[in-house]
Amino acid sequence: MAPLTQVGASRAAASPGRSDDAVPAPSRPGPALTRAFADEWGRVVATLVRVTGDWALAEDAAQDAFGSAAVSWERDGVPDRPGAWLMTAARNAALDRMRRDASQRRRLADHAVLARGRDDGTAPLADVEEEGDEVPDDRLRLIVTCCHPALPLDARVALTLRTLCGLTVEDIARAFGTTDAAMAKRLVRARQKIAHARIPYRVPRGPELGGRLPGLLAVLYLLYTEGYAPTSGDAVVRGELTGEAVRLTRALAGLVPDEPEVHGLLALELLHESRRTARQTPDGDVVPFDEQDRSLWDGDLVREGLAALAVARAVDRPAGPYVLQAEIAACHATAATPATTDTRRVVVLYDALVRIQPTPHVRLGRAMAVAAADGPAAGLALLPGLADDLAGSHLLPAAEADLERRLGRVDRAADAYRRALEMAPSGPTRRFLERRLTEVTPA
Amino acid sequence: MTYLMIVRVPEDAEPTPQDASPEAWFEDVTRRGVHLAGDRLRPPSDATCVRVRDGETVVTHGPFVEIAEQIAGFDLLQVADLEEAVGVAGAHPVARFGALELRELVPHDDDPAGGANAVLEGAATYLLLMGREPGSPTPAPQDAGSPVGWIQEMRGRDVDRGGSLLAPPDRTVTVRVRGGEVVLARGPFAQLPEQVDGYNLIDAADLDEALEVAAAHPAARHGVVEIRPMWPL
Repeated sequence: MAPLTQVGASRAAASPGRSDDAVPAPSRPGPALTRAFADEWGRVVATLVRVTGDWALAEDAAQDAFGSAAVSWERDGVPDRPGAWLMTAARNAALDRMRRDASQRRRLADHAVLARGRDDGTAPLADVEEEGDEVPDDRLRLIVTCCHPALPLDARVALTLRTLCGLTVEDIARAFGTTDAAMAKRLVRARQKIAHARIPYRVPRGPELGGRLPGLLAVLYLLYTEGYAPTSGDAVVRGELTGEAVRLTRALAGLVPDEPEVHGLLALELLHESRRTARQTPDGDVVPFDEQDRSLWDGDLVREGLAALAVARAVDRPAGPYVLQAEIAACHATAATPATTDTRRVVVLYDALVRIQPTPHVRLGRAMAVAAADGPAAGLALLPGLADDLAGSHLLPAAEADLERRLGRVDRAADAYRRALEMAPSGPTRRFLERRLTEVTPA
Repeated sequence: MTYLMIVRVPEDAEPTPQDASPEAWFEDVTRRGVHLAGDRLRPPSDATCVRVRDGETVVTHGPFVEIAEQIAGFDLLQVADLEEAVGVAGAHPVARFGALELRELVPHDDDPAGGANAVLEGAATYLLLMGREPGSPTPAPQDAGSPVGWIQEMRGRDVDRGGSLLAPPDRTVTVRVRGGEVVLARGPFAQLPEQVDGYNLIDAADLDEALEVAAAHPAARHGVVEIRPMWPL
């Protein structure tokens, strides 16, 4: 699978993107819809999938609902309960689509839940909502189904991003470095397999869920990291993705309380989430970790993260990759300043992580941890070993530049920043590297 | 004699409308009483494979062997001899653009149905194909032969719809019709190290149940079980 290199910042037609753009186009809905999109898209699709059993119909109807919201909310104002409004609109849109489509018409009879309401004049949403109360979280069913092992991994991630987070096919195609047509086909195939191989729409219990966990956690982790450090677009953090990932991980942790890796991932996400505000300037620039104002870290999230980590530690099992990463994040979260961080422990944790997950990114993280513990020169010495694996990525020259800068070797640093900039994506990462280059270039 | 006829269709096949429909063939074999069961299968992209290794169930997507001439369907033929089976296969329209592999059933003596387990009454939702592939572990003694325990359990659960071990690939005959001539080949349609050596029809509520049923089959412990959904009626 191609890594998620650049999920775009633009979203579905109904999503306005960044609400602080200079002049909003007339058709652009306000921040309320942006928020509703983040909060409700997955819920609306998840509920419609459950009620209709038709994934494509659920997505189309959700798209219709957000489209009418863009018009109607602009004209009439934002409704009191945006979620309920959207669910009703989506349900009606699903009904309309089924009535229009002759081949679907006979299926209408099967969908009493969907069809009721309108005909007897009651709020059509009522039953769906009441039912919703019996179901802990339809979105969890949706993600468990999206991540079914009978689907190829790339299709699992794509399907999650499309159905749960509402990213457009174009966005996901960019993220996978493929064409829109190829991505659309991949999604169609995945939905067809769900329908034809009858992949059930439910959350498995017990050992069966345990076997499905690694694949599920991998998708949640990808969701979180893509939100926390978007690989393209102009946002420093995409809160809708991180928020979605945290909520789903939390729900999963409640379902499988004995699985340390779920709590580990939750801890990892929460500890990172606690730095969201500190991580960006009001102008939308990135603040490097060592320069963050730690008073801006969200204490509640840190506490919740550390508590989740404590749950993971309580299970007598060797720490997995998410627990180890959470331990590393906890070392930073519990230090009052960068100088008082237990850098030795961070290196030990990275050593353990490299042993079970020797990916280039983990090894680069370890090199930077060594630099923090033993000085920039020690870290620099480890970078050439990563040259092959990280060729073509800005990460390696950016790390090199940072260590040279700390050694005071400004010429070498400037050279490395330039090399990093040749490969860096646009947006905050690029602006950060440019700023650093200016700093190390003598006036 | 009972044969499993595996219907192989090339990916890029463009049959004439007449060849695309096996209706006439089906009517004929039904009238003659040689057709026990058969169905179209959903395409290989809807297939799922199950292997059990060291007690862990490993699920992968797609068929267990990726080849150009994928299994598109199957039929169970009850015939007097191989010659009759070849005649039936040669009359199938797919013979003109694909291939039909004839695999004799070799029911085990210890089969609880006394060897009559080829097809049972009731609707089936999935076909399980038991496959062999290079690097698979040697079957444990209790896993070799007919999976009696599995059959008993799946009958009890009303999941089993019949199945059998198949004669080894070197006893396979592949039938094609090219230029109006019936072309026979000894052996399966392709000399692959991966071969189907058993099948079972099951009725499962959904893929998760099918996965559980497949993982419980002894073949999953020393080979692979491919789950192919049947084409909906």
